Amino acid sequence: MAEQDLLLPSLSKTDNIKERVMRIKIITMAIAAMLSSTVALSAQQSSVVQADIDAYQGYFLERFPNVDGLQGFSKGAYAMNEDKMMQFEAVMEMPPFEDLVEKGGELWEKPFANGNTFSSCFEEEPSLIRAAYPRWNSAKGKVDTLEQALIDCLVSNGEKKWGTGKGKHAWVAAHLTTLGEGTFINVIVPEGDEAALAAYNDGKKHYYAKRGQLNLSCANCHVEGAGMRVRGNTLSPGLGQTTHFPVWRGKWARKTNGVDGFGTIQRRYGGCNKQVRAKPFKRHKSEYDNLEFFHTAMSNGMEITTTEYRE
Amino acid sequence: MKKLLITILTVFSFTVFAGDLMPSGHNWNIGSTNQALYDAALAEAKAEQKKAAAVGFEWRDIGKFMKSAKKAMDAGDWSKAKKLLDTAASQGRLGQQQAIDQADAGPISF
Repeated sequence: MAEQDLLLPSLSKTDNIKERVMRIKIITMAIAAMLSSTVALSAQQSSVVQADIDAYQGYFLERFPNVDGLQGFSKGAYAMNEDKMMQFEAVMEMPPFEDLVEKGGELWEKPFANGNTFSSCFEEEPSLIRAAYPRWNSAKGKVDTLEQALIDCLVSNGEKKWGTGKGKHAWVAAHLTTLGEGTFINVIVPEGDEAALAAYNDGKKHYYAKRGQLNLSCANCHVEGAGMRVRGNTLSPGLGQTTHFPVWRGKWARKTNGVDGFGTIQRRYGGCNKQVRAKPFKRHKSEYDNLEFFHTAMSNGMEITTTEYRE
Repeated sequence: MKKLLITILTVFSFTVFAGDLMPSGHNWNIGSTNQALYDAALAEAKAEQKKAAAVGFEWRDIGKFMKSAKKAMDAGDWSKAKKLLDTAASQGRLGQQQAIDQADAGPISF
């Protein structure tokens, strides 16, 4: 049986679900077609990857019919619990991280010693940068992530590297995510590009491989376990997780007495690996870059929702 | 003088008996033997950790076990140090096995 059949076992359970899945697919295809007529989509999506995306998104749409369509999954576990959603909305009315996003904006604009700014390293206008990453760099034969591009920009302009995953690095990334609100995730693994597909498959394998002493994979918690409880927390669905990073987490904020709770997606990957008692990988190396490539592609067609609060 | 003689004899007799009470195979170089065993166990644990890391499946606490083993050894508790290093080596081997088991990991039927 094909992989997508296993992931999408019985969509014929209700016509309603079937219609919803079909509608989402049509919307996704329309968005992709729209983007293909602009600059964002210069290559055709690998048919293998598109089948994975359809199966992955279809699985969540079928399993959680009460979540408000594809975009509803961007709210993570909050979309599955009314009380939690109310708490989330209350926090987001006056987000505790606004000043840090502003600082990120100031750093974005601040000239380096050579007079250049961050924007000199990017071809896109700022509001389109977040959705342009992660992306396959065929010249280098590797995945480029936005957070790595920021570090590369510092280095190429003769500046000192920043620490990654949090602090200033996360603030600038959060500024770009905020500017990118309303743009669409559209990760392309070019059809026929074996190296790109290999990187995607490497990330996919990481996602589904059980690891650590607890012998759990990303998918165990965020696909099979999505919506279930682990102690006091609800496990978020994997779909939509990349629409709002960097996030400001209450848990991370507590480590800095509430001052800075920001962290990038790769900081979160490290935390997840630690939680299953696996040794985390270094940020911005191929292991997490490829994981981010796969993970983000699974949310293709979803809107960037600005940086958000998480527990 | 008599008291002094009795004291000397008493001390001498304790010394002789004490020597007789030790097992015949006792190794008077026990400290250095344990150190050698510790070094070997640590080397083994590190080797297993390295192999697990090479296949991308190192477990989180292996390094912690090694640090705790060093502390135990410094405190003279070889038995505890050995237990910790054995656990570290074992987790290294389990990580390698996990890599083999997960070689074909992918989406599953739910």
